[in-house]
Amino acid sequence: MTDAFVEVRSLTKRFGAVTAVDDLTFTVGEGRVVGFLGPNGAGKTTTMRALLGLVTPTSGSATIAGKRYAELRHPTGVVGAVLESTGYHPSRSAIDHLRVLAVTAGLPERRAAETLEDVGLSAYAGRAVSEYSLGMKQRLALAAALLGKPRLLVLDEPANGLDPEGMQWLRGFLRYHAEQGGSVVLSSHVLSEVAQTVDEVVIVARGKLITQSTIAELVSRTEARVRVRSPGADRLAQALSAAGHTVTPAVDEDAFTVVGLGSDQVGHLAAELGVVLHELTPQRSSLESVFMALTADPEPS
Amino acid sequence: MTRLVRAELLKVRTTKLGYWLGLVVAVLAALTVAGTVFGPERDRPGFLSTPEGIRAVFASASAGGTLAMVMGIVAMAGEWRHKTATAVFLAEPRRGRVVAAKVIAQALLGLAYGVLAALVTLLTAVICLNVKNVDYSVTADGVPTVLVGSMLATAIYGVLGVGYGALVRNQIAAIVSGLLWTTVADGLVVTFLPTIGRWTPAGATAALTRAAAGNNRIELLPVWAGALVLSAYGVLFAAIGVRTMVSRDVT
Repeated sequence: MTDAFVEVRSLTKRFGAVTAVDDLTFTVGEGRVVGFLGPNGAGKTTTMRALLGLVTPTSGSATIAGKRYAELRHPTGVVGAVLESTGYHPSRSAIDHLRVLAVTAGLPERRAAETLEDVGLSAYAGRAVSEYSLGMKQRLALAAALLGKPRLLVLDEPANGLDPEGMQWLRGFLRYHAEQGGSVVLSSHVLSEVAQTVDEVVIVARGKLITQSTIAELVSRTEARVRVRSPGADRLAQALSAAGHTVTPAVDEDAFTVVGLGSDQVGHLAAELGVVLHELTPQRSSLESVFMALTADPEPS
Repeated sequence: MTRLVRAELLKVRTTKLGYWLGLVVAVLAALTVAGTVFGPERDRPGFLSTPEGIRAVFASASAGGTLAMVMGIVAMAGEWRHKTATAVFLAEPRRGRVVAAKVIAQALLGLAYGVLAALVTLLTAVICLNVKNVDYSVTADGVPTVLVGSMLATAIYGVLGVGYGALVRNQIAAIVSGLLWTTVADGLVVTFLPTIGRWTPAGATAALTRAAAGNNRIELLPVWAGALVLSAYGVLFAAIGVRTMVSRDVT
């Protein structure tokens, strides 16, 4: 891993009696694309807002390039953020919305038109934002994040409100940003949404860190499985069960799935038993199931 | 700091409310002049011919104060109503400066409303007083003080609005309670509790514009003291605005 660009250290944030983030520590290296994952209410949004100086930590710290957000000399050139519940004045046009933010950040006003072009909204620049669709608003939020040409993009649940086409476009955009050497932190409550985009994941639940690992490490936690279809399915399943393997019946009557074995081992056993095989398909448990198991609430509800 | 003020003024210019309220200011000033000149003469017949009567007519120039306050409230509370605070504080995390820029921008807008109201008042008053054949001079009887004082008061009401909008984050609640105070409550205090009333924003404004609110003639502060008291309110509310905004969580 490269040097820590984003550093969250023992971050705790309480809202009254509710502990939203609980002693959370993780880092993001420069040039990395990191998925920040956890179920809804895991503290992802609060962590991101603390990183961006919008929420004051109860204790601990969240820094970018070694500094708190408010201490950054040109914050918009370092971080661009697309957060949930970011608003617009309904009657102000998209281009004016961006001009206001550009002037506030001390950036040239022409960045407003340039970033609208970047996100493909130039044709709708003069429209009032209230006429925008949810997907267009998400793009506008991204345009605002890009105003200062930031090295790091922070996106909170960007998939919300985007149609599959929009999501695909966003993936392409983030990949391009990463290829240019930029870093990305994007949160989601669904691993499969970001699995193709990110290099590594930081998984949180109930405000605590569960694990920080690469996608490859996460894949290695999945289990090998073999789907078997055979006219002698019952006999083969019994033999496998007797040998101590977990067998799950499939929907079709003459098939089942066995966990923890390779297809070669199952094939050998079938030959020994003289059972004809119609299908022998190696599978893996899904990443999503690993994610669910990691973030599951230990207390039964 | 200049860029932040520029951004605040750009916010005002890129929405319609400021222009509409400017129109309201002009109409309100004209109606107040006409009402004072042609309405039932205050207290006694011939009131209009007195220096006090002339000042009451020209005090219509302070008609924009309430609307400047509304604009100030909208500038601050509107950032929460439309959830634009997040984007603004990301663009400029030094929040105290953002609020300070709002204070300056709204004082400037208030001043613009004040100048507009003064011009409309002058024009309408000249016409109305001539129609009624009242002898007057715009350079005598303290009329220049009334006009300048009104402009100043209107600018300060813009500042009061920013501070009040920071304190009461709910825009509707802030506007409704703010309007109730300036149009009803403050006038009642000035009328019925004159000893306290002359120290309220309306009392200080009355001192600045030399026009007693209500029918009871109350002992007003001197002009300079009125200016000082109203400015102190402005500073107090601006400080409240900065203070409440600096440490507040934006969620």
